[in-house]
Amino acid sequence: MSERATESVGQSTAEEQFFKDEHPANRPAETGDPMGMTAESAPGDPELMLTILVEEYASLGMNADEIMRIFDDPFYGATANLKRLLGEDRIRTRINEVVQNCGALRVSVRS
Amino acid sequence: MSDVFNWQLGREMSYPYDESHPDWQFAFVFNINRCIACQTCTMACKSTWTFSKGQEFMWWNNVESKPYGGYPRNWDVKLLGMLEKANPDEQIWDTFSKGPEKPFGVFEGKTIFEAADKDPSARAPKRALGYLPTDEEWQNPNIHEETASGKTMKEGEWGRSAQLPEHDIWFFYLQRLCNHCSYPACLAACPRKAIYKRKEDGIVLIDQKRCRGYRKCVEACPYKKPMYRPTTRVSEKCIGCYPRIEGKDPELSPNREPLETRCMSSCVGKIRMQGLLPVKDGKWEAAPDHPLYYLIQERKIALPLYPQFGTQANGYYIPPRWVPQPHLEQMFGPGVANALVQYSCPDRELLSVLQLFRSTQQIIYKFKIEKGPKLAEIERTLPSGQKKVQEIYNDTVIGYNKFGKEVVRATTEQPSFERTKEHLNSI
Ligand code: SF4
Ligand code: SF4
Ligand code: SF4
Repeated sequence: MSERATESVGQSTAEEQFFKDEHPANRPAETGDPMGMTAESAPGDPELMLTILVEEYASLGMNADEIMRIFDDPFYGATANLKRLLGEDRIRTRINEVVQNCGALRVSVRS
Repeated sequence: MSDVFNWQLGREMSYPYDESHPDWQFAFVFNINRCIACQTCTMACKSTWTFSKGQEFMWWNNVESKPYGGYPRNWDVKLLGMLEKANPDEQIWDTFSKGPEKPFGVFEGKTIFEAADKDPSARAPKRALGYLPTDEEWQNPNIHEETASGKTMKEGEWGRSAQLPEHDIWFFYLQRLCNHCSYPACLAACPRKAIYKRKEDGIVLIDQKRCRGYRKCVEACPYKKPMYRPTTRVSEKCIGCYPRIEGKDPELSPNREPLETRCMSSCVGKIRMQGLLPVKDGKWEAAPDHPLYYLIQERKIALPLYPQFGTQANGYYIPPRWVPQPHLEQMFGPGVANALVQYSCPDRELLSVLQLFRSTQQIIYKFKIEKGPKLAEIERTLPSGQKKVQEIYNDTVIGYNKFGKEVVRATTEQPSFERTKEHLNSI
């Protein structure tokens, strides 16, 4: 930890702050805290994002089950976050709707 | 200062050196619509080039959540703010004067080079408007997304050790690396002339022997892609994986075929395509059968990131269809509306070229399309949320390498085969 980071968390040491058994999202904001949240709310439609991501993967040739697997994997941030936000049922329904519309185009590649 | 022509701005601009161009230019196209934020690209770069002491906070390739987030933190918002302050209410585009030399119209505001003298904090004249990020700003490449937290465990203790934080407000992911700019700000700012742009491919490199770690490049690069390494006390940056570009991998390119970089080749979401464009008289040579030229110049669906900075960056992005247009226009300039409409419902030629993304590791220099029968009509969602019918044809797109050899053939449709459980891992 750099000197500045230690200073910015006030009384407690940097170590105490970092390892506090508390989820960072629930911590109160602190001025100068290098871990502080800087997010701003922005107008965006997660439903539209979901539809478009599913369309992209359907047009790459993935079927409904294969697309669902991208949403199940916690290491795929975009899709995993959508699933957490909208719920598994909503995702599954949307995938089925889109795939029914698009079909799954299979892309063949020969190197 | 010299006057150089910047096609992305549709006008000449001031730059500290005379106009000079390489024979080929490294460039890439990212399709933001497909990125799932898996960070495989980030790790491919890290595990190849920046895994050593002193490089802990170095991510030459990073994928950040937008509209907030960023690596270093808020780099773009900060610079946009500085430019606005330097030229209040004047950072605007004249989109009426579009033409062949100026596809997006003319940028009437000031670039980082033109606003250099407006920096109130400068103690000496600067070559470009910029700032030096703090250590803390470099430390959390995707704060509140990939910054794990949790309780420290005692030896032998198991359980809830680390967690990923959660948040709701996000709307797309931006993939970033050095843009190997045509007018690099890093190069312009270096007092030791330690930074150079290679004649053979336009890759921008820092000569580690000449560099003395003044960090002028870190300060000047608007994309914040040079990084200081405290253990060697010099700056480093993306090297465009030049050994791969040169075809020097004995295993993968036995005949010296140029290969796409590590971060490109590893992309899980198939969003990335990279290549080299021939340059003649300071311009890309017209090559409508080159996939990158086709996407960037012919169809204009791939757009430069923050063209108003003025470095004529060579990274291009297909903007995400679900994001409000004003936000995208600030980021990719006035070409957004056209790009979104075209990409939302691609015609048969565009659809074929899009199949080339991540179909081979070799750099594609040319493509050809063979026509096939009509397959289907499907419904697509336009940026407005409206629906449009797209006609799909089973065309075949063929990609050729540097030596004119066919390296890939992709058709739109193919029957799928599922492996049985017992043969899941067999080749
Ligand atoms: S992105 Fe930055 S580091 Fe890369 S060439 Fe451009 S100015 Fe230099
Ligand atoms: S081109 Fe190579 S060096 Fe540059 S970011 Fe990608 S993997 Fe890293
Ligand atoms: S590997 Fe591709 S899909 Fe994954 S984060 Fe990188 S750019 Fe996005």
